[in-house]
Amino acid sequence: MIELRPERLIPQNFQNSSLEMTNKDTFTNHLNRINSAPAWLLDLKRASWDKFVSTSMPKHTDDTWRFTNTKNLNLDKYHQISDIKSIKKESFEEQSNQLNLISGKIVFVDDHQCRDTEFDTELKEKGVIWTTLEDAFLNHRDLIKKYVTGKLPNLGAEKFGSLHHSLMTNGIFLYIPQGIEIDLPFTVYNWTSTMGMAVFPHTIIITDKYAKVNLVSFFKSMEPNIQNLAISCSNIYAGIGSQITFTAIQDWNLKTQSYHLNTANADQDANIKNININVGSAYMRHEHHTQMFGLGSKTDTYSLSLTTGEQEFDQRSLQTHSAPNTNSDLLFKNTLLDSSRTIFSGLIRVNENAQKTDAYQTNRNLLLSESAEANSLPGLEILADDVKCSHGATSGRLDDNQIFYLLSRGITKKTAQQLMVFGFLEEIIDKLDNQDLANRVRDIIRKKLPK
Amino acid sequence: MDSLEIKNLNVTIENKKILDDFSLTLPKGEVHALMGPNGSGKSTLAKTLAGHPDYSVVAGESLVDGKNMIGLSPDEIARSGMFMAFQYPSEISGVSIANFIRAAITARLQKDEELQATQYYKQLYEKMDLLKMDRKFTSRSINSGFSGGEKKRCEILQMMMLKPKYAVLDETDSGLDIDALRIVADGVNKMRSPDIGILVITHYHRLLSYIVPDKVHVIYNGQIVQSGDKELAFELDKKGYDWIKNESVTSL
Repeated sequence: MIELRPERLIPQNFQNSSLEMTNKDTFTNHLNRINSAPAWLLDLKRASWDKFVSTSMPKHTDDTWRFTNTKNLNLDKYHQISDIKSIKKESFEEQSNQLNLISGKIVFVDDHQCRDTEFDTELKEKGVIWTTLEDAFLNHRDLIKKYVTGKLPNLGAEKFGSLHHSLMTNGIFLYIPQGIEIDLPFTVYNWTSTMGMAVFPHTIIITDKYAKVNLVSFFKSMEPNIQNLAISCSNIYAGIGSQITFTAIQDWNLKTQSYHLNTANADQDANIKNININVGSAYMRHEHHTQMFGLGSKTDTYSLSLTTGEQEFDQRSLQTHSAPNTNSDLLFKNTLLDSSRTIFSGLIRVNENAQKTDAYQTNRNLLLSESAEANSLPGLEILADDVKCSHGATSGRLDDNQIFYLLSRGITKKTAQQLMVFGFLEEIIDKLDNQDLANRVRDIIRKKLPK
Repeated sequence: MDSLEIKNLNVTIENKKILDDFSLTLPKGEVHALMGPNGSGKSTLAKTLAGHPDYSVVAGESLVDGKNMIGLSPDEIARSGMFMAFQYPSEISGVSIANFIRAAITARLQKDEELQATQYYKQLYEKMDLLKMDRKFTSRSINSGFSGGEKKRCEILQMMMLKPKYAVLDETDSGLDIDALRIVADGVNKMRSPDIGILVITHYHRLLSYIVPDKVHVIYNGQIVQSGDKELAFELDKKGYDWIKNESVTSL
């Protein structure tokens, strides 16, 4: 058995193939490694790589990068590894147990599956597909082809999204056939464990008519000090009358540079709920595009964040209403400590035909320190004339009188701060609708608050 | 005998002297009233005793059973047995009453002690019944959207749950209609015991018809200018505060 000591974190086989992301050999080597992949996928990858190469790095003067410290973005010192033979898998298995009542579980370490897929056999017999992308490319070729298309939210991070599509090797594929309703969540754990590793987790969730499913995705680092690049993409498609709940818990270590680029697409009467818990990363870019293209569809997007130190969370969202009678809600709540920064830029776009749209967008920021900075850019673009839309942003500091009131009851300053933070964030935690998961999230927040 | 002993307290806000050598002794088991016109220093006294950072104590002591509170942080003062019912309690959205009081009780436990949830709720409901508070209150955010009467009842509820050695009620009667006043006064009366000393700060005499004090003190210009039994409150009500102002001028 190999011990997981820092010097062993970089596997032998990898040291020879250490490459920079921007180097063209990176891509050539990648293609060589996946030469058994279907031709359409290789074509998509080549096109994505070309786009990656031809797109320049963002500048802070770009509209879609306003307020971002673009000098912190870089792709130069990361690499991929070809296997995880030298990694001690047991420790990942032990720590991939955040929820007990589940329908299935997949665990990835550095984009490689580290244990067999866990899957309720009854669901398998009903035609549910719950598997890794690696497996789907082999065994569900026709189905997956429709859903691996290089789709991105297109809110500015296309360079990073293209890199994702050119180098991604793995992720999860979840397909629910017509009429199957599943209450217990599927869970996926995306671990990084290797210094300098770049990971590209990919998530696809498809529900057929009247199906119902719930996925919880954890993004975590095994060590606090390894530096990683994580570019995650998810594409969700909710079929007619179906329901998808997708929760992403972004708990990378504080050295990680991460991009979470998500799209959610709702057909007629479908309902998508997306909850984002963001605590990790040195820099995180979170792009989210929800599209209501089916009559009467509905999406709810929620986000909770807690930033400390010099963390920067860069959140960009778009709610597109392209069918009548559609409904969308968005609530992003950021809690900022120390010298951390957040950026929220959101847009509601209502197309001409999308009459009777009901759309909301709210960003609330709680600043717990004088040097923290929250930026908010809410926006509306309405082309239909019979709609209800509202947007709003507020930033508040912890009121001294409120703190004094709590202290005057004997509560310590630390507990008072905790109560106020949870008071602010509980509205989002409530949306999780799963007590076990809510408690895990509370643990993560408590751990991150000043001791 | 145990007491809250305020000795020669001098307090300034922004270099303005508000309390001037203020002294008062409240023995445990008694209820004292502190009356005075607006601007006489009543609320400054309350906030100073609670350790509010805006008030700087130039000299003097506040002794809880002999232990000086001046210089301690507000939470240390509270855990030493002081309680302040505020005139204008803060609203804190998102923090429920039940969690708030639970955190306050937990802060008073020893390291190896644990709060029994069932026991806690049993007690909480008992006290809420006394104050005619709906059970739904436990899950509401602290004071947010509360009426004046609900806020004051919530203050008394906290006092009942935290069982302080000494309590200061700062203008608890302000903003209360007669029904709410009676409920709040009943609650305070039920707490009267040899184990607690209560200082009722008020501008008006009406609260003192419900909470009958053992002693009445009158504050003016940051000092106590008269002390007496409950009759003093009635006299003050009849003659008005001008009487005190004139008295204090002539006595100089």
